[in-house]
Amino acid sequence: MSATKVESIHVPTALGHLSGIELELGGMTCASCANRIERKLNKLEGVTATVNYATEKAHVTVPEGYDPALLVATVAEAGYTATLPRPAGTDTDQDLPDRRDVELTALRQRLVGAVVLSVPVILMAMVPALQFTNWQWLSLALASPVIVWAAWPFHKATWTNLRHGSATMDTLVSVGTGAAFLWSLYALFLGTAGMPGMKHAFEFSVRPTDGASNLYLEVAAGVVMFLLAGRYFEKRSKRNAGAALRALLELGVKDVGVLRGGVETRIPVEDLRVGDDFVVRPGEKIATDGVVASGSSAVDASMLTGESVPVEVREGDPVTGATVNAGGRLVVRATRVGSDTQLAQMARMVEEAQAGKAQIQRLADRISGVFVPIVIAVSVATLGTWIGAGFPVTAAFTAAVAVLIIACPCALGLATPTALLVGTGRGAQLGILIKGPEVLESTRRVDTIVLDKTGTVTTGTMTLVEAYATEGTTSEEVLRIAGAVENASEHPIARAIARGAQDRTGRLPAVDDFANLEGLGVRGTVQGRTVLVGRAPLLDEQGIVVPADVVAAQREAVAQGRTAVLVAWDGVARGVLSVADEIRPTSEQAIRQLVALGLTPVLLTGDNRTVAEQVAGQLGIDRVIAEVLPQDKVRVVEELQAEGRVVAMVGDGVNDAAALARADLGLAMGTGTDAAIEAADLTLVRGDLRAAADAIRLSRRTLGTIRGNLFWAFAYNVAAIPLAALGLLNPMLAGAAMALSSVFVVSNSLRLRGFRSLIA
Amino acid sequence: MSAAPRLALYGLVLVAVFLVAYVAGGLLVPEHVVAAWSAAVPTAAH
Repeated sequence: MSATKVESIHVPTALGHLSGIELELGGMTCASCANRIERKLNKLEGVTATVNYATEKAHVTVPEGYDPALLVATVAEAGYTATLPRPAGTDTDQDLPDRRDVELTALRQRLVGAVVLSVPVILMAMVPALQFTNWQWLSLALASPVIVWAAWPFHKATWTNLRHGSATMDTLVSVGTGAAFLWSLYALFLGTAGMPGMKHAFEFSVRPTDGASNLYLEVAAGVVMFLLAGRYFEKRSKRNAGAALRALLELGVKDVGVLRGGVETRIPVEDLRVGDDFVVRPGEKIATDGVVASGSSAVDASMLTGESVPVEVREGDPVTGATVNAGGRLVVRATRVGSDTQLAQMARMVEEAQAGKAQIQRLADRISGVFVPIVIAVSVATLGTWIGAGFPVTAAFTAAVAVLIIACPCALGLATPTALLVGTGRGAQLGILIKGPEVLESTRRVDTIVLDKTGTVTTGTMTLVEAYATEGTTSEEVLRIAGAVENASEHPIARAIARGAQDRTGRLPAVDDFANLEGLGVRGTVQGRTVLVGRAPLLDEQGIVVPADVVAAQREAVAQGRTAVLVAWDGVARGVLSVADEIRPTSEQAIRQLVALGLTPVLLTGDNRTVAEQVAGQLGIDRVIAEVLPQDKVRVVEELQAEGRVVAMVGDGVNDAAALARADLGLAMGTGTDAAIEAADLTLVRGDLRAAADAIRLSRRTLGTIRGNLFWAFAYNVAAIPLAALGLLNPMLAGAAMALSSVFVVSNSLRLRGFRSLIA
Repeated sequence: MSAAPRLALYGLVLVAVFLVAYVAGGLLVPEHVVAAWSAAVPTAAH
């Protein structure tokens, strides 16, 4: 295989420069597979690899010039597949089908084939009236493709796991169905099951049999059918873990207006270079990280950093790519582009958080890892006991194989998917979207909940909170006049004042001679009055006297964590308008519910400490961590986990994405960014924080149902193992065990429909 | 422990289990039980 263009990350080491290669992996069926591949790759000299089971990708750092074919060969040697990224200029993502869709289609084909072929096999075996002459040969013809072709993924995974000395649910299924199939072949060709007129009597009596007339084709076919159904429903409901990265990277702009020789030319953002000057108009996103070359404005960075108040910038100030220019025209000089930008760093943080999250092995696989060796040992013990006692060897093999057949629990494949289907369906009715089974299978209980502030416990938009008027003026008049001037500005604080003024006073008067005074405020003429709205320096500049009561009102607003804006006309300060990011009406109730569930709330925000503590105090949250950079949010979650806590996190912004991915349970507000939604495990669709308590209760209840299902799925079959070991098993008993355990598992899962929300 | 030695060890365990069961079967299962079973169950091979 020829070398392929790789992404260079320019890291100088003793080996020279390093390059990063991303491999797309295939054939992984569990978290152990990911760990295995990672270990194999890391054994190669000079290679450092991390494997992400969720995204099915391996990120490998190798010395420059390293042949990627060696990595692909190493992965193949471990029993899996790896492909290199397509070189630039070949088919685009839109031209090729998504790999997950291809896998789902193949799974669906196997499932449909298994259902069509297995149903007649099961009916013929269980209903004596359908057992026409030589029915057993038709049964063999129908069941063989199911057990060999439809079940092929199980057999392939079994072989791969066996090479690594481990056993999973696939092993249990492969051994059980294989034993049933091979025994049935023996009974047909060498026993009496192939005789014309042979019938399976409809009886559940327990009596000795040499098994040579017993067929177990319906057990094998039925197990394969149910397990494929379970796998299909699980895979279909699993959302693409890689979507979080795509959502993040799509935040950036696609093209940018670059200034060359004084002329503005639009170019793709990928062509932007360090040192280029580019234009950012009001309302546009800043194309990349840079420094303001000319102009001044206010930049809304709330989506990226959580800062609720827009940041005033002027010449020489740094700005971040993907933030929004909320004020005047800016010319920015690019200082970082491409993979060096803050947005790209955030994307790497999300990827690392997803890879670093403990890859918990599926519950069923963990149980199977212990159960399979024990069952095989019981089967061998049965064989030894029968032969040692003096029974015929054929009888000994009958009993030993019967142990393997009955030990394969049919309902095992349905135990998790049915509970998930019903649980996720009930959740969807309550506005909770659950991403995948791994979320719920975590056996640890959440005891700490980290809450982002802006957009999670607050509305995320600036809102007019209070209007104070000095003597001789009313608050309505202050609002009406200030609102009229602010209505002409795009600044988020101006929009909040204008909205609030309209809501409280109705239609606003017109404004003339509007001027935006960058960094200070706005000026305009309303009904013949020259009005100034803005910060104290604006009034100082104009020599306007501010009465003591207005100063006091301003100071009180600031002390409460609000943004205070002064209003003056005709040379006199008339009042103070306070704006703030308001707490959602439902947040207080939500915090109470979470505390009642035994969770400790922690407020985590990039906003300033005064505002954060004010909000926490109103909500009854004792622990506050404020002024936190996006990369530090992940560190905070890790530190809490290191304290032994099991951490849930609720967030909505881009700056929350990595922390949401790292938390034991990530919950995204449905009103938030795509990046947060895709990185989280659960989405609260309606943006109501009270749904977080429901989500945690539903998760606990669904996990309990999964555990109950797994217990009963095994219980029926384990109870039948002694019967099989004593040579008392017959196909009817085996079929009954399969049917009863499946019915129980489905019924138990349906109980989740009765889950009640705490929201009134 | 890597896969091959682990599987070999498990194989040895199975051999030991078989031998123990073989001896236990011979010692614990009375001959009349075997005789009664043989009388009750017809042979199956063609």
